[in-house]
Amino acid sequence: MNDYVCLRNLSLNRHKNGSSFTLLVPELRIGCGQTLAVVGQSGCGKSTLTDMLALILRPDGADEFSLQGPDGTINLMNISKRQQAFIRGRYIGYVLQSGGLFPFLSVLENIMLPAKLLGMPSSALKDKAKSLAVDMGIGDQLYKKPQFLSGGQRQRVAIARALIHDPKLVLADEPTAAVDSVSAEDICEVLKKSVNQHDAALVIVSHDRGLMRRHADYEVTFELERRDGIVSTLQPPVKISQSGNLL
Amino acid sequence: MSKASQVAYLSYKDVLHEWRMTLCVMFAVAAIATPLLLFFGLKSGVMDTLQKRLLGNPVTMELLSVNEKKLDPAWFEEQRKDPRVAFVIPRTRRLSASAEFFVKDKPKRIKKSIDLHPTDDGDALLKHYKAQAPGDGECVLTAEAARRIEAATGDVLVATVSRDRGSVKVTREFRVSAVLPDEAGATPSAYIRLHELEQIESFKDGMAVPELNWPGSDNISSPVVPSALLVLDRELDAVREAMLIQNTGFVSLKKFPPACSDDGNSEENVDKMRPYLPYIPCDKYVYMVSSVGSPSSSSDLSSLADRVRGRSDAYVFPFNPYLSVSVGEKNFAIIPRTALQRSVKDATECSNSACVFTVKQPGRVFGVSPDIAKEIGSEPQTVTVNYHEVNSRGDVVDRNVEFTAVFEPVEGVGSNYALAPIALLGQLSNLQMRDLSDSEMTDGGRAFTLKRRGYTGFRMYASKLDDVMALQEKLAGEDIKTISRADRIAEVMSLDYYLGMLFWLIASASLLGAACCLVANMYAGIERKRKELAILRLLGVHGSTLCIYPLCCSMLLTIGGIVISLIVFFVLAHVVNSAFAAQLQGDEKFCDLTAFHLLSTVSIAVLIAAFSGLAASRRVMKIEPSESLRDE
Repeated sequence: MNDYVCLRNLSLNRHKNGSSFTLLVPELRIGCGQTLAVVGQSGCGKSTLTDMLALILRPDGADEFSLQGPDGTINLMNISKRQQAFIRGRYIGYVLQSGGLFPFLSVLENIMLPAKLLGMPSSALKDKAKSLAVDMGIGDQLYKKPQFLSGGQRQRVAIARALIHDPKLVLADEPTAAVDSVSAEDICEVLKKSVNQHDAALVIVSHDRGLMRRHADYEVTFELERRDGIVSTLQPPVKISQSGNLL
Repeated sequence: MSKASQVAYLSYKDVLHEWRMTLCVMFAVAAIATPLLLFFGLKSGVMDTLQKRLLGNPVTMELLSVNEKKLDPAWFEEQRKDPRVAFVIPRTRRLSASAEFFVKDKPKRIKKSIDLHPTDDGDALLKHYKAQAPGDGECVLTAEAARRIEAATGDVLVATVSRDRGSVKVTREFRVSAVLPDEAGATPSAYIRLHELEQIESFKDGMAVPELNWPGSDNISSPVVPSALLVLDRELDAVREAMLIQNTGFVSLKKFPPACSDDGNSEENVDKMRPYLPYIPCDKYVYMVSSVGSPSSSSDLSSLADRVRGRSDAYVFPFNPYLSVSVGEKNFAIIPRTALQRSVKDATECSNSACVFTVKQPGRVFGVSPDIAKEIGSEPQTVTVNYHEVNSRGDVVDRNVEFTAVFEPVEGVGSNYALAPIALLGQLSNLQMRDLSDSEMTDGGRAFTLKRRGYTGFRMYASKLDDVMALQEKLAGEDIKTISRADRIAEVMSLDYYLGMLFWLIASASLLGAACCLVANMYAGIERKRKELAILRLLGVHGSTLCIYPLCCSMLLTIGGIVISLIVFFVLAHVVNSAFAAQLQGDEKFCDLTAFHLLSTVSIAVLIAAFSGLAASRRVMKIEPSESLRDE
């Protein structure tokens, strides 16, 4: 198995409203084709972890925090903000809570946007976006504005948008928070299937353990301690069996 | 660059998507810009029209002399060389510049008096109204003049000039070469060539105009002399001496005792006089009397002669020490050939009125020493007579006249002297005051006539608006008072200045308001689109690239607003211009903006848009990508 993102002995400290929060990650490896579910109660550090993976927060220190680029390993600890922005745009795809679609762009334009920002030629892009949309089951909605779609459809558009530029890592932060449970199952299904098809790693953050156990390959959680403030340590990933139980 | 252009495209889509909001902001911008455009359009249109009218009207550029100061042709030549002068022409005396006109071939004769004005090629007034300057025998009429006598272009007019209360009348014909429109002047006037006007003036002054066969006196110069010599056998007593300068017109007296007298104490003085009058025996007493200022006339000489009447030994010579004649390379001082009424050498010399001072057409004969006469020959020669005097005030008087004369040998004349008939000497002495010309007389003979003393006034046109003031000042420096429209020009210029200032006061307040409005709108827009902008940051758009977003929005809104206000402006400008069409001529406009103004408007709008866009982008830089990850 190919590890795409590696984190080792990583720590990050945040001060929020006078209290201190520290996230420790002893080791986390995310491989291509894997689905990792990040679960836990509120305030356990799910968001902090995703922000780090999304290259928005920079860890205070780490023995390793790297990503496999096409030309070798990229050390994410000492890159500039501009490089961060580039890597975000090039290697990572995002599925946001309520889609995060641009209201003034059509579905097709929304899907193509990340690739266009990378300067990919638009003729080939259009076909790719259309086939992605068909895969997502929204092939007949291409020229509508997002405001005319249902919540589930919007999330499908968001998934298509996250995959258009062939990222190796897809981050989904509570992708089902705004939809009903039936649609949530559906979206998770589509998300996992399409990410697998693109041979990318998928990280889903969710508070819904049941849902995650039905769809993810691995599950990580946090252990909270109260020392000087809150210290949260990421537990090693646990594989989930086909039946949905932890192995 | 693809990111930047994508961000720009997104902002365009956004502006389009929120079209209601967009239109509101655009109309807000238009609401500020349109009144400004209209105000500036009216200001520039009205000022432009006023200035064009001022410039277009040749009367604006006209300078008319008001005081009477003699200006000679050389002065006019000098003015024509000044680049600020577009056209200048002398004016004759106003009183003599009119004639009675009627149309020649009309059965009904309408005879009216019309003022005459001189003109020439390049007359700014005629040029402006596209009328060709009249040629000889032609005239250009004003509309009023044409109306009064019912004349039209191409008609032949008969002009009647009279003098001595109508007892002497002459006529001449003029063809109407053009009729000027009403704007060119409200008075009934005819423009004719200067020399034709001068002929009319001369006729009215009582002079003959031989070229046109107009009767009158020939303008022959009456003889004058600045000095006279009195030659006597015996010395005058003191009383008689004093009487020489009592009411004779002469004011100064010099006495030269005989050169070869027994006491012999005045050799020096005698020697000085001797060469002038080689035929005066050395034992004579010589008195020289002179006038100061204007020269003495023949009556003055008669008075002088009266003082020594009855003395058979007395000779009175008209004398001018400043005259010389040159032929070829040779130059001679002119001295009188005979005394007044008396021959010096023999009686025959006084035949043919050679000893009469007042002969109108004296013989043009110079007596020179036989050797020189032989050298020159007996053929008529072209000679130049020169008058050269440095007067008591230090002014140099230097005048010439050229004519044809013959030279004849006379015994005893010094090689530097030429004897002239006293009448000729008297006529040539007029050079002290005036230029002379050698003219043909009505009887076919030739005589010296006095040239025109100069002109008392002029009509001048400046080249540019600014030159009017400059020329007026320059002429005032020469003690020539003029009237012009300079005050009107200054009025328009200052009106333009103050309106411009007012505009900028209003404009700066409005522009400040517009900028604030746009900045506020941009800030609000960014707050509304925080999420979208954060997503773009997440999708790998760097903060500085993201600044293009508000910049583009601001540009689109502002330019849209300006386009709306330009459309409104052009519609309103058209309405204003049509409403005032009756007051406007040709392509004049009351409300108008030039391409430069339009370009400036758009540039200023773009600058304000850029300013507000950049102000807003400071806020965009602060948006974090994490804001997009979760709804908080």
